[in-house]
Amino acid sequence: MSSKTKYIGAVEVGTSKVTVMIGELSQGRSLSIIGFGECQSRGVLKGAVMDFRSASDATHSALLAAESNAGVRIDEVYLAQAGGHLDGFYNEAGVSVSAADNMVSAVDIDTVMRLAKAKALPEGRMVVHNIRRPFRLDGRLVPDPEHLVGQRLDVGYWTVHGQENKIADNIHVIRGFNVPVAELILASLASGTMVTSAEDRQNGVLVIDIGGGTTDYALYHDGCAYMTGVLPVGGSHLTNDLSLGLRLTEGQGEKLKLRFGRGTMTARDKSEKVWLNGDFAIGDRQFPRQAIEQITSARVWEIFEVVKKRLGAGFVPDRTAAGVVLTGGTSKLPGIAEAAAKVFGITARLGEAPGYINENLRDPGYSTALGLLYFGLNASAEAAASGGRRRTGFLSRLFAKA
Amino acid sequence: MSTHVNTLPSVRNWRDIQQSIAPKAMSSEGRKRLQVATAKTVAVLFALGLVGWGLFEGMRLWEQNPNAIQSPVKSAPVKFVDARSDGVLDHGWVTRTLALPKTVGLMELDLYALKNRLLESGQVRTAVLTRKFPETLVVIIEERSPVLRLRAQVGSAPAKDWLVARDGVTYEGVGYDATLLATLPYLADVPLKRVQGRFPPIEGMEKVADLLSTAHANIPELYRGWQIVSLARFALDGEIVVRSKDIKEITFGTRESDFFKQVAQLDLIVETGHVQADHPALSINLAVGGSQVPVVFEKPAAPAPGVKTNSITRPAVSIPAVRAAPQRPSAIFSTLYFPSREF
Repeated sequence: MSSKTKYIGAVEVGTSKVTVMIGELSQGRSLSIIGFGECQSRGVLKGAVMDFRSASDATHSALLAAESNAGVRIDEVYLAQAGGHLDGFYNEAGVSVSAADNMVSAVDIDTVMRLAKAKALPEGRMVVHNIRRPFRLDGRLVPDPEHLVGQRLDVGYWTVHGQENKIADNIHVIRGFNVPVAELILASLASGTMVTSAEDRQNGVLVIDIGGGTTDYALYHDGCAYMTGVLPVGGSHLTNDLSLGLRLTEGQGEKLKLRFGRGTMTARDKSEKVWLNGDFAIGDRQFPRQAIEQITSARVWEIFEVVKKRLGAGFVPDRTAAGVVLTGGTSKLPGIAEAAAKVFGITARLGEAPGYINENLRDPGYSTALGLLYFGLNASAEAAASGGRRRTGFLSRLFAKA
Repeated sequence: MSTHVNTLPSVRNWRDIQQSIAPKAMSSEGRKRLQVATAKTVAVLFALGLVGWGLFEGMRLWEQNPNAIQSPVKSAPVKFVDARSDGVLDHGWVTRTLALPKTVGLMELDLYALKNRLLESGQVRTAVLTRKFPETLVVIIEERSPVLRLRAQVGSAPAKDWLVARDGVTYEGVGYDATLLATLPYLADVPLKRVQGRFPPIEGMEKVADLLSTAHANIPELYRGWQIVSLARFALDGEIVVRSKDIKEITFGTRESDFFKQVAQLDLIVETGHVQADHPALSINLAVGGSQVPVVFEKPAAPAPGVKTNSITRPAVSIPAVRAAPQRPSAIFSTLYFPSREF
């Protein structure tokens, strides 16, 4: 390994599966995906670790598979954070510009940012992300207010926080493999960055990542994440509903969901039946297709309704021009985009990974892991750029001395 | 405002979580990786410690008993000195000059000091000394070649001849054939002042060496008569004055004209009878340039009564331009090329 090559791992410990991807970062500017490992998840419920040993075994198996696939060892991990314990709030602060000539200084910016982030959390909660919204200088949106002239500078932060012990459990699962966690990233932000373009995010887009145990969503306005959230409901609930409604085992319910589940109902004939296995062996049974579609679509509809309710006034269809983008394993359910379009009243589509991603990794279930690698690349590029700036500063000082 | 900001509540971030966990909580693969990482760290620390300890011991030994460090190499004293030279210096001279103690070890030799000892003679241009284990010192020498002789008296000692090389270095000269040295003209009219027991290099010797080599190659018979080369007018006018048996003063210019052309003009003047035994030339000035060469002749043997002048100046001898391309001295030496006499 050359000194300028780093191997980063993107790890998503989901409720149904653990996904690991290994990226080779060269010079901090380009990334190649060189390893992939996947394992059925155990010990994780609704995105939170319930059984440390089982979750560790499953995660470490996926890590080992990815390392052996890549033929390298991971240097650090970018870990996706999901779970129903995550919550968010918006806090805003404003300062009067301190300079006599009303020119905004770096001190003003620093002060207002610290004020906006400084909101005490309840006991046992800690911050996962502070997502800054654009600055407002005398009411107008500005990306960088430094050296601009104005009276009042405001900024707001969407703060994502979660339970300390659950976040720690997630990190300790990775540390059990003796690899450091470089960054903890909200799953919805990771997948949202991957399946939407910068233009989508500027125009306004709602990304809903429906996983096995949770549904993560992120609403983007003006190019930045405006609201995020997690519902402790996911694809496994569809399976559970089918199991209860049709009196099946969980495995059978999963099978029916994958084969006949839909986000919207299309079957009109109540007498139309489908076989459980289709092999006509002992135990194979018939079920009404309309019932299956009814159960799955009702749950999907409900998920979207809850998301819409959670967003509340923050969701304005007119400000979400790029529509709803669905991703995650459950987004493969047929008709789910139509359901989303009906609930939210705007266009909806299935998210697609960019064209430069390998065909085998373009499944919606991998968008979070891909997004984590994207974050890793960005973080590395920023570090490289800041290093370059430091060098320039040193040279400037040197020449200034000369 | 700053006071207000400083009293803000501290918000815990996920980075505050302690990432280190007990090995018990690790999986078997994690423990294996931890062991490998620990072993690597220990190995690196051990290696660093070893290097540090070695340095410390070495320093301590050097300070307390340096002979203990040198003693292992004493077991291999120098038995042979392999001297190789491209000139006249022989093995005996090298051995005498180095003056190595009989029991000195090969590793104890201060090669830098020995090299300086060889270079002090002046005759040695470069010296390379290498240890050839187990017991041989190899000395490879490049020598200077003498271009001129110089008679000088140092202190109260009687005057003696020194040799001057192309680079202006003056040295005593050892091992040269006396008949060869006798053919070298003397250098005159140069300021000499010893600095730290040595003569500093004489300026302009490269030009003189070029002139002598051109003359030696092209007009050997005339060259044999050259006795003194004077640099009295070199610094001011860029002229080299040669005094020979037949002509008292031959002036060569160094600024513009080529030595080959000047030597050819001299040869032509002498051969075409402008200078003869019955009216020998006092001086020939080849430094004027172009095709005009002022020649000053001695007064005829039987002067008319009442004539006071003891010399006459004839009109300048007109020499046609040399057609052949001038040759550099090095080219003349290497090919022994003698140009045709078409002026």
